[in-house]
Amino acid sequence: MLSFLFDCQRTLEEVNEHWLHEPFIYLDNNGLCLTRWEILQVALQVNQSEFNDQQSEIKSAIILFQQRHYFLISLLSIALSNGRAILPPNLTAHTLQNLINQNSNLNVFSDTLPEELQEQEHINSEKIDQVIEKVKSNQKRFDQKKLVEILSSILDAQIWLYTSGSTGAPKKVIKTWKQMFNAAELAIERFNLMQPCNIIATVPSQHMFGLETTIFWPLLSKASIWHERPIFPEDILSAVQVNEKNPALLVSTPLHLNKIQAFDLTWPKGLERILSATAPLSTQLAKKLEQNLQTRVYEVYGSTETASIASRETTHTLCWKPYRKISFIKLKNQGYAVSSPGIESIQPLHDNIELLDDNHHFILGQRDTDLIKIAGKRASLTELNHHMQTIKGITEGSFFYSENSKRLTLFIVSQLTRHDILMVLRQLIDPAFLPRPIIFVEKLPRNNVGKILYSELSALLKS
Amino acid sequence: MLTSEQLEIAHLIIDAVNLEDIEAEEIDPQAAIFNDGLGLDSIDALEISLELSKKYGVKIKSSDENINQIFSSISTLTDYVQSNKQN
Repeated sequence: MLSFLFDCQRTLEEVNEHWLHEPFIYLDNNGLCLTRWEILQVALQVNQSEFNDQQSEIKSAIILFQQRHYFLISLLSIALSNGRAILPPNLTAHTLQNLINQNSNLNVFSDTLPEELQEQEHINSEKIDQVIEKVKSNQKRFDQKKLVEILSSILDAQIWLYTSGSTGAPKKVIKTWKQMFNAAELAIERFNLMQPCNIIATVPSQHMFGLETTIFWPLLSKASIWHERPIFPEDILSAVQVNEKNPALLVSTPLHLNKIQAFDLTWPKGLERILSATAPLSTQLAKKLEQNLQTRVYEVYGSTETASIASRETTHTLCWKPYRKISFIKLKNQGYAVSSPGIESIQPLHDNIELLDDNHHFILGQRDTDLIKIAGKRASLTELNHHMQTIKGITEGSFFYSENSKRLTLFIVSQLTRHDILMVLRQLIDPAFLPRPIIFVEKLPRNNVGKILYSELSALLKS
Repeated sequence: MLTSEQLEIAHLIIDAVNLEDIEAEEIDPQAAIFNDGLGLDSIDALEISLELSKKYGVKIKSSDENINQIFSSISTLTDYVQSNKQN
């Protein structure tokens, strides 16, 4: 796909021009949309007005917009100055302060500003809307040379994403636009996105799965995307019907999908596929979704470091099929590393996999028990415990996660009130991981070498 | 002090999102439900809306212009449910 953009030898100007002027991001149910060419023009103008000040120091921008068009325009406009786009893992005071310390020239793309970011340069959606209006009323003619120039100039620009490593602290993963382009090319091929379709996604663009599915896949394919991140099923329903000409593709997580299928709704025929990622999807849920929503369900496998690398049709097979050009390398000690055009060198996998054949089809083994996923967000129990133990007035405590409960439980030895503990935790950790419930105990159950007995915590929770 | 309708909504929220350690009677009807209040997130909103649709037949869309207003407190949510309930 990308080769056609860069390959000026082939006279594909017409193809490009057509693709660039197709509806790309749908803004309402009446066909109002932005094209790729319009998005590029808006980003160029935002870049000119916000980042073109000849200063030599590296520019960075935190992007908090949830709406896809504002997010992409922000992402492009900072890339055009070869700056860093920062997609923070959460908005806690702790995280934001670290980002401010690491980036001296920090801008924020957002409509609401967390307290810590009040001092930073700020670009809101109103400003972007003004540029959109200007571009819509004064379209520049398509220019193939300009397009290639723009895309070539941003290939090395960085995007900072975050993951929680099993060692504790959130881990920064730097991706270049070129790596994202390369990774997208493989996914576009796998999911046949050169056939027009509409993507609707419930996941945020700030995390890898969302960044791929809502930004890079549609940008480089013939898929269009709904501008909002719908939460309620009624919103998803109306987004699915935005362009009935093309089939719809819903991108979501098992947690969200489980809720959606519980609503008593009549789903339209156009929802061709669902892509689910971030946590394992049970075959049972996949079957229900296929029945109730008249669709086909696919799971996508990947990580922040690797981007997506494999998929499977959940109701048909347990076996994952890697994208083309993905291969696995057995490591000396144990486990596998993955090699892909989307990563610089090889990347060790967090999960245990078992390769089944020469084509590198695989099944997934046990996951690292320190890493948990709630509401599509990943955290490490070690890291959460570390944050909790910094709270003054807590003697000891432990976060506890069981597959059966939707949220974390916190066992705690402290004189503080539940309210006090939550107030401080909210400053330190993402709301998805706030404990429900908090259980006060006299002491934590430990074995004779001091290790916390999780089986007893589990029994305590049940009682 | 919660009205009986507000108490019913408070119980529904507590059950829907598993706030086992909060007593419905303790919730301030005017206090925020999300973020700084009870600390709930968008998946919670989805769970609450599912329970509201089952129990009252109320359908909530985020494109409803006043969605933030509807979900801003137990009091506003109760008012919305009372004026939109089907069963």
